Amino acid sequence: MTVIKSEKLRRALSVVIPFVFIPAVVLSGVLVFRSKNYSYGIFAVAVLSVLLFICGFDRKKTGTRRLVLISAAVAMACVGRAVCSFIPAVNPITAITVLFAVYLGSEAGFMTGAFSALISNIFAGQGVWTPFQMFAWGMIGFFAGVFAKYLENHTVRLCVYVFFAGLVYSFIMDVWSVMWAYNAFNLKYYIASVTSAAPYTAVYAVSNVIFILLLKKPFSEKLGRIKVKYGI
Amino acid sequence: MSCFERFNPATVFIFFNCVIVSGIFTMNPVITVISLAGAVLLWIVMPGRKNKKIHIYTALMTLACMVFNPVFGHNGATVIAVVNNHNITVEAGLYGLFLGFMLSAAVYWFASFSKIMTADKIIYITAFISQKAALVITMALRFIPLYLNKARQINNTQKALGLYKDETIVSRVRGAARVLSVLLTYMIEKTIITSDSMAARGYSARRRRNFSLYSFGAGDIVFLAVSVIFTACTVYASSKGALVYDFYPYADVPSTQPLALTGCVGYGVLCISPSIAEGGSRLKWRYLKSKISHSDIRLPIR
Repeated sequence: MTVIKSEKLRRALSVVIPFVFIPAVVLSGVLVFRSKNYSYGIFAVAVLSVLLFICGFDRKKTGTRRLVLISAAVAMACVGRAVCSFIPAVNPITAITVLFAVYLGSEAGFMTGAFSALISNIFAGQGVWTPFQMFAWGMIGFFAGVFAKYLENHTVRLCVYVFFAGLVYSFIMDVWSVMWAYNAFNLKYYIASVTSAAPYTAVYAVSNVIFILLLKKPFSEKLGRIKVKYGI
Repeated sequence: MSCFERFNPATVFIFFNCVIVSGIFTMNPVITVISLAGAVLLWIVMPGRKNKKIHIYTALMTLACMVFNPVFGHNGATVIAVVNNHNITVEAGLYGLFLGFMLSAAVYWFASFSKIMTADKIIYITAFISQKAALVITMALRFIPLYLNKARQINNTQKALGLYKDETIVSRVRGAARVLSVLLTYMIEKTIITSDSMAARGYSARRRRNFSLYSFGAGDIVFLAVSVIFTACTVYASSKGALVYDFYPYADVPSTQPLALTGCVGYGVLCISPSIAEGGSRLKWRYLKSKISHSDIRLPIR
């Protein structure tokens, strides 16, 4: 980030950017791209909310250990996606993001999810869907961190959360594809796109549960241990 | 070498943002066709190995949109058939066709984008927004090959220890999970060591700056100016409503009023500018190569 020396200006920018600049970008775009205003709006909101999260992450003081651990989690999720890429619709990003979020907090969860999407797409293919994937996986991680108390040491709840996270992820992506194609939320098209993606969604949700069942025990033991030992 | 590799990544990033955002959020058949043509041209002009399957993929996608849109959408005035009390209309088919074109254009633009924007450039761009994020990405990119390598080693060790049974799928999955568990332990210990040595070397002691080799030259200024000015043309025309086009109920000829033409021509120049830059640099290279004659090459005197 370009270094702004003046403390006052920095503080002013931190208010102006989220409350003035971002709504202005969304609204002006909606007025400009009239024939596609809804799809532009939803796209801009996804991009900017990811950006806002990243800026917030930049401003906060994060311990070095936590920072390196987040990047290790991202690398692990990407390796998992690369290894599992031969089976369609199966990847462990949701499972790994949720497990890290439960033990390291919601912000780490968001970062793990969002950056896993960005980096694994360098191999898997970037597209208009990248901001939405970042948003969806980031939010899955964020809420896992928020509900960490209920999910920690509770395999069944974790499985239920991950199952629904898989469904929600697919539904978010379908909302985007319908909005993009028809510029309005058309229920008929949405149902068509959800049903055509149903096998993928089902495989994805079930595979998430399997990943959690496999990974829950080692992750909870090891992440719990370093949390106590190194005070992360 | 691609001419894009000599541009500043920020310039390239801004160009792609302009062309993609104004392309995919303007539903005007002329803009869509221009966008597709420009994207395909750039994909063809760009040097390097390219996936040939992309053409088949986009063609199939366009065909699918054209066929399936009339099945689900029944607007439009020109009815060609009635199936199950639903009208199958020409307009719905046309809408599907242009939708397919738009999706294909986005696929081509992003394919070129992925080819140009390598990981180091993505880090450079991210550092503008947040240095911490750029650091996370840098480290993650370094960890990926490290972990893949380590996973292979662990796998071999497990095999040598005789802990591995790959008879059934269940035992294979269990083996993979064990490898992952060992990898996790390795990863966490390594993470702590890495972060402690980072702290020992003064990370987080003061404000950080990022280092990069990219410079901002005259070429960047020209390319940036072209993209900003011609995007402004399109966006202005779009904001005045000149580029609004309705397929329903009748798919008319797109409007040819001056403002709409300005928008389309501006977008056309925007789309074709990377191909010109790329093709121009290629021609220059040819020209310079033709000037290198044998007489110019001086052999060392023995």
